[in-house]
Amino acid sequence: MIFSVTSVVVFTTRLLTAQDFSVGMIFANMVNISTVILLWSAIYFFIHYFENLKRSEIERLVWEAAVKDFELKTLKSQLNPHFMFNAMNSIRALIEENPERAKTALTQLSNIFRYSLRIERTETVPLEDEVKTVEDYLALEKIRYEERLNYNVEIDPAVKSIEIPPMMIQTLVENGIKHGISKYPKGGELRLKAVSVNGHAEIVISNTGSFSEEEMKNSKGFGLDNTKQRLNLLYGSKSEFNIVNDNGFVNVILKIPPGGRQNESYNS
Amino acid sequence: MKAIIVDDERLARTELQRLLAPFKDIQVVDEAVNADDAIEKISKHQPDLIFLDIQMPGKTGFDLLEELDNVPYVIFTTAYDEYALKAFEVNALDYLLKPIEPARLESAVNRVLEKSKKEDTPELKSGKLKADDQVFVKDGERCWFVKLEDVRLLESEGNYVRLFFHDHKPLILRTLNYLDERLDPKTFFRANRKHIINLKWVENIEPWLNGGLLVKLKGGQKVEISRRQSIKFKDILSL
Repeated sequence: MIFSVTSVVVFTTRLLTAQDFSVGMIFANMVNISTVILLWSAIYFFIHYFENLKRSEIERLVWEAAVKDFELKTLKSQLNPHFMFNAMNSIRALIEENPERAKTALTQLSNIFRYSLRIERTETVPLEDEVKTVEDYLALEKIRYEERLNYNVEIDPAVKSIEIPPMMIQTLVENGIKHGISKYPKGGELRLKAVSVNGHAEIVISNTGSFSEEEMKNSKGFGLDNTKQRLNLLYGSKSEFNIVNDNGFVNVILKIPPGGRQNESYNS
Repeated sequence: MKAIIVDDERLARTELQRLLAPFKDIQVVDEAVNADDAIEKISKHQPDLIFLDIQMPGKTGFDLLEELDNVPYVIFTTAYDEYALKAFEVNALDYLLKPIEPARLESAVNRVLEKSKKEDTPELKSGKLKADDQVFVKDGERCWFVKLEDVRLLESEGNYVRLFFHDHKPLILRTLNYLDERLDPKTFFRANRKHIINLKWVENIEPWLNGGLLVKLKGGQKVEISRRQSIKFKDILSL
């Protein structure tokens, strides 16, 4: 583009030389100066263009990294808002009916909330911390479901300090309540058990009901896929994840190796 | 105004009872703990209004409404339900988020009271569905409360019936014969084996094959009236 402009200028200058030399000179000078200005702005424009391009490329990369980070964060399960609002509704009703119980419930709810904030920056937590949250959670769900929910928590002291991904048991317990208790008008039972097997922690979450592969495929089983993916990211082949039907119960069985994670950190 | 609270959680029901206590126009006559229980109690008390939780064990609040022939005024109560809220936005139905804010409850109740003053209270005991009765229709993620007077045509599709109203034509799980018995014969007419038409939507009538008639409805659909039904049809229209 610039070349064509210059050739036009040269062409015009030649034309003018034949007619009026001095006027032609002035005009040619003007044209020459403007050519320089034009050229200069073109260079300026291009430099800026490439700079912007580079900047937007960087912005794109930052954005992509943020998206990836976000995906990993969502893999870390969060508190279910449905639970939070229902719990607050129960507490509201309890304030009049049983103020003491309402006070305890409020403390339990804040424990859960605090835990969920704390774990935002951690990859693993000691099993016992998670279990404490799960117990608060179950106590709150018990207020809500009353006689429809029965639960039992049994933890082997030997596995209390094994590091596990935060909210992992919590998510599976929530799942158990969703599929095993809230679906049935008469409710059901939920059990959480953790024992030590050859140094590994074996965690079993059971709920009333039965599970079918077919149903799993149809429902967006985000909870379970999420758990599998997290275990895999953290421990590779050293962890196990299984679901089995057992005498009217669905058992979700996790095996977690001692000594924390085996893989590279995915949270830069 | 008689009301029933439908919620699977006792505390949620108790809380709503308490919140409703200051409203002298609303008498809560019963509570139901799930959809089946609610269907029984609704047919027993014939309430004007139900407070309805959406997520319940077994059937959801939507399933319950689909099973009712004549749907009373409904105020939904839900803790957090994105899907449900999406459905409401389309239809501008009334819903309350738990924990319920007393001011929101007041405005929802007032709206129902105002609405009921404007509309003639349907005679619920008569059993027939009148033109100003409403039914609840759910099609995928969308749902509607449909006034029967807006339904121009009902078409049989096996065990289902397709309703034509406004620009929509969702299916409901009812047989045409069942609806034929329930619908008010002053408004709805069985045109043939497959169709019931709303007489208020008839635009013009032409003679048709074998002594039948062809009815054109406002909105463009054409429905054939069988010979046997044509005699009845002429009878009704000549009154």
